[in-house]
Amino acid sequence: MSDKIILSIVIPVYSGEQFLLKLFNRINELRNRWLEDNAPIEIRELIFVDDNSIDNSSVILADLCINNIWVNCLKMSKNFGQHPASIAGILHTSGNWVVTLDEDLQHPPEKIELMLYKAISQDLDIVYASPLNGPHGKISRDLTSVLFKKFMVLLTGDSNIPLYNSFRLIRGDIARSASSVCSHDTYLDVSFSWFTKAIGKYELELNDLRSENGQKSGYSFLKLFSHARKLLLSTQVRIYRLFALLGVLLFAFGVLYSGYIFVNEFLHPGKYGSRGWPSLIISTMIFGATSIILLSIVLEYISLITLKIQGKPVFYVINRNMSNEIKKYFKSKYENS
Amino acid sequence: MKIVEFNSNNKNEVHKQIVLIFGIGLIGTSILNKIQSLFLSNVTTLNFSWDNEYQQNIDLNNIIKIIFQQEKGINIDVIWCAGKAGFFSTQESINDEIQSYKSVLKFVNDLSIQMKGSIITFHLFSSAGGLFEGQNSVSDASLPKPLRPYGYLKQLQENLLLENSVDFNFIIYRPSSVYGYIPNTRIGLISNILYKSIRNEFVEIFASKSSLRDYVYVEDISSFVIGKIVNLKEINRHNNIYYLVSGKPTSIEEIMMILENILNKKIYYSYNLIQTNTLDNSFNMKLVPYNFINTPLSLGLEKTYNDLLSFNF
Repeated sequence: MSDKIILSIVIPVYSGEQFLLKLFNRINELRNRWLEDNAPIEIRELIFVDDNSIDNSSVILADLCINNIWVNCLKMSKNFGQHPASIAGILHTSGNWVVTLDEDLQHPPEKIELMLYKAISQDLDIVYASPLNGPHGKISRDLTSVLFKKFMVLLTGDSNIPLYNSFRLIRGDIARSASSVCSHDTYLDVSFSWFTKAIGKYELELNDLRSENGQKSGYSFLKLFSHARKLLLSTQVRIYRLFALLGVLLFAFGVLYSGYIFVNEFLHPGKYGSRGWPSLIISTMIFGATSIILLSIVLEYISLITLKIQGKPVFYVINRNMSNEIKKYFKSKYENS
Repeated sequence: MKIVEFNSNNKNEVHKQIVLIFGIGLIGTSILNKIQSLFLSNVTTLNFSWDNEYQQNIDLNNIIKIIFQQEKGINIDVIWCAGKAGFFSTQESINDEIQSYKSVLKFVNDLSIQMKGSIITFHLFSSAGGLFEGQNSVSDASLPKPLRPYGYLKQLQENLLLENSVDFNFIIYRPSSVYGYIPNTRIGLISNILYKSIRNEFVEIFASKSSLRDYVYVEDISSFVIGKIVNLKEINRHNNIYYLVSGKPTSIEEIMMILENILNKKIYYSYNLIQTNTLDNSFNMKLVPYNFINTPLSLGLEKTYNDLLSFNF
């Protein structure tokens, strides 16, 4: 049995006709280099997922697929979006590690080896590419993206959100398991985080060539909104727990305030001139607080049910053992120099 | 074994055909059922000894007598889908099967000499899982490397066929993990999980959660084989090995998710990690024959569930 690490690469395609051949050539170069070097890593399969592309991509992909035994194409019946396309691709892989990247050359395939080195040397299950620069080409877009992610962390309590990126290296078992439990509204990266917390990042320069060339960027406010919606649906929204706390505080305050009024009325009868006002305030406060607490409990139940439906596992067993051959390869290449 | 006689009607040409099915298991019965549902057919059950060579010759002579009663020029298809020696069988247990297979192969050779003018085709059901066990992204360039006696048996059967097929056509099918339910046949992993889960029983799965397999629905296989039987002109002696695979690796975990959705309840299960059965096995989607129609996994599992329900509950 070969001790080689088998890599599967998944690329969702929507409008990439001008990039596909270049991207394929770069991946092919990497593949050939590993083969020539007799490296213990092999790109065994490259899966393009044609997400009902709107340009000439289908023709280019068909040609690539016919001429290269290791290249396969999946054709989606309609445009499902990047995450479902990635899921479809991942569920057709069989590699020890799965790499997903964008079609538009924003993600350099040459960095896959370093991402793999990072994953193996630090026992990680997922490595996200982390842009050193603002990847969207415009300060306003990059700033919105950063703020959005920070807001989402606050809202959901998931500290991994700033790492999420479509250029990722994932342990094969986790990639396939997480993809198989995703429902149509599950945020793929949130699903990965249900299976592992061994998540790291690899910093590199990313460039949005579409944006740099004055073409329409894949980044838009609507997409941001859609991401936010999916993120909130897939994660436990922690903010309702703050509401529950507010409810408890209001309730406690209502009880204390009613005690205060009761004592005052007992010691100084007739102090509160307008009859009925204290009882109105107290009952509003206590019943309002009770409603908030009950609502929070209902939300907690809904959240649990949603996570169960979305497929959050009770446990997951992983084997992180790596062959000595690959350790030796990385050691000689990156640690001895 | 079963002998099925029927008239096939392909592109306005009517052929009288005889199909001999050796091995009435999941695949054999599915082929038989499909023929019966598509054509007006006559089925005869004959004895065939699996462990006594002398008796085998007598049984095969009886079959020849029936064939000789037919008119000249009849097309004969012999299907070998016997699998008494299952995936976990030992070397000793497969010896009988090798002997039976050799007898049948000799019988087909003799038949082809005696029945000049008839098109005789031998259909061998090999095993992609047995030949390529532990290999991933198996492609045309991959070489069979069996890891257990069952795989060696299938390799030997293929080699014997290639060496002995002088006067007859042959087709080799290499199915991956076949699933489906037909009563009175060996119950496979998926049917077993469904059967036990319907009864709220505990299921022990001899594989790891992430073990990858390539699942194909048994009725897709029988439809493909019947297509080959009826379209005689399609047979090409130089390119007649078909991988009956889906090209989509599926983990046991994904199967369990789909089954729980179909059953609409939790399945009580555990994994028993037999080291030799946790190896992944997957096939390049380019191996899927162009006219092999794959039922989507969720639909195939649903059909299996419905078949199980209708026959058992």
